[in-house]
Amino acid sequence: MFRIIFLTLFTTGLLSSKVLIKPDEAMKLHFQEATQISKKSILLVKDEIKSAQKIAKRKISDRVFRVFVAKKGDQIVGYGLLHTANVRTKDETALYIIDLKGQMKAIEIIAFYEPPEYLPQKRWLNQFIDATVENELKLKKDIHTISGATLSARAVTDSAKIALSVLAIARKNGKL
Amino acid sequence: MKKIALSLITSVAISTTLTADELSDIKAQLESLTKKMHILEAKNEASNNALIEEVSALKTLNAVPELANRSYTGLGYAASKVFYSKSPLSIGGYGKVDYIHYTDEKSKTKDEADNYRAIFYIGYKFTDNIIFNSEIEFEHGGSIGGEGEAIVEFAAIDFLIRPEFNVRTGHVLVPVGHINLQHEPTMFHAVNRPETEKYIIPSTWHENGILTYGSFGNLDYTVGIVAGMDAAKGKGAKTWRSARQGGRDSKAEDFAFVGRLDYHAMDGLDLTTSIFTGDSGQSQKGLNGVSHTVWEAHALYENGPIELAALYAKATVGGERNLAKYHTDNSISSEGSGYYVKAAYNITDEWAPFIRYEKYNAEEETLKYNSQTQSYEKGSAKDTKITALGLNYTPHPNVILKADYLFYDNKGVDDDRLELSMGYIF
Repeated sequence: MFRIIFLTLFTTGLLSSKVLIKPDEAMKLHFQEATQISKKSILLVKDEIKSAQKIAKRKISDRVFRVFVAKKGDQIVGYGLLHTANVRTKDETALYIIDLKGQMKAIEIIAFYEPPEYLPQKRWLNQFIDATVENELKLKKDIHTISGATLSARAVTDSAKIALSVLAIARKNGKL
Repeated sequence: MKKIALSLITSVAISTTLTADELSDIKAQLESLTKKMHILEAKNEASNNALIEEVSALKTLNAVPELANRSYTGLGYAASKVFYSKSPLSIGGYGKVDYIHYTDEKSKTKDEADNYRAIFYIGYKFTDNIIFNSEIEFEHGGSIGGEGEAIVEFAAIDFLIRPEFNVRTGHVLVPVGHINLQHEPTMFHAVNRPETEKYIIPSTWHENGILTYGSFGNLDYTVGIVAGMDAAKGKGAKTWRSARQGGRDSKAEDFAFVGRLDYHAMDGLDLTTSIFTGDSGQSQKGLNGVSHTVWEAHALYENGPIELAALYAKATVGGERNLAKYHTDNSISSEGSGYYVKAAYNITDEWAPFIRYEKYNAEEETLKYNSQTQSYEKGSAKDTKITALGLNYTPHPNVILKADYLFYDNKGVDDDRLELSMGYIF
């Protein structure tokens, strides 16, 4: 049995190091009409961070954010904000994909450094679809937690609300 | 720059004796200054953007080194990876310290304050797909003069192949029940775990073996084999609990099958069933045909602030006559079962009152071999019934303070207790 398992492991060639999905690939997946995916970095000044924190009802420790922009021709069709949060002792990084109406279109986990059993599954992430800054996104109230992985659920839920708030402020102030 | 321009304009405004040439000269100077100002502003903006871009790139590199594709001291991208990768070593842990006050005057048990668990996880990620993880546990203050315990609860390597098929091998947690896989103090409400998951499902339960696991849509599975139980060790109310081998020189003449299915029926509702079954004689004289089986089914439901849980577990022994004949000094249990139901309400993120009721009997059917009459005597013990009423306070997601009162009917004898606990994970 061991021989079969190890042969399977090493012949599949799947034991190489990799991220789960690259941000630009995730953008293409969710904005299939897009002809161009570009990345942009934005800086929110102190007052903007304060405004975003007020909307998010969460502390925001970052000032600089990496945003992916999907365009069809010259027209922007959507955004993806990359956000990293600590889960337990290790980080997870996810792309929060938001359409022009400010609605969450999808969340794609880009990299996850905690043990894999704590990785949020697609079906759990789907709870965030259509969420906007108006949604409180409170864990255990608006968002079901993940059985056995509460810390992952908390990290992604907080980051989703931060991403929606930061993007709303950045767009309002003409930074995107 | 703006100040200079402003003072020039002011000078012009207050001057009443300027000639046409002088005015033209001042106009030219103003135009030149405005042009320089625009150039400086553009340069400033470009510098700011470059800085923002650089900071953003560094942040991304720090968060996800694999996205970088940068070379280090002339090496190729792959060879450079180790220089940019995050530390593959991971350290975590959890612990709890309990105080138990036995309230019934007739209780034979003394009050206790126990440094119950101090646990450390050490993991090492060889690659994203080959990961070692371990749990080293010190119980009751560690091991001094035979008291307390220091145990490796798991030490296994995961080979992550694809979502549908992964392999875990080494010293693994037996994937049976709810608490056995999720036994950190922030994961359950009362100070102590339900006793059904101690005497019927013998948590914490760990053994050497190999598991495969994966997901198909809403269904997660685990199947594998682990070293079987040792029937020579378990008798009485601990027929299953004491038969665990724990991976310390585990006898491996007999193996057991383990299987588990987790079905995510809908948002917030998880349904699970799991089983451990296998021969446990381990080629020891007189224990031919003896086997141990433990199976369970449980449901977890969360809706807003409400949390509900229910679990039923059953343990049986095959070849019970041989087992009874082996343990002539004591009866053995051939059947035990138990269940619990729990409801909790998260008033806020911090405060959660709860109630849990459980009933179990690890000696539902017992068998005693009378060597004088060479006959078997059947029997059974009374049920244990526990109602726990309590309150959890979670000032931080990783820190929990618990208080509960147990209305404890110990096989017909009242043995109520007040429990307090602090727990943490990191």
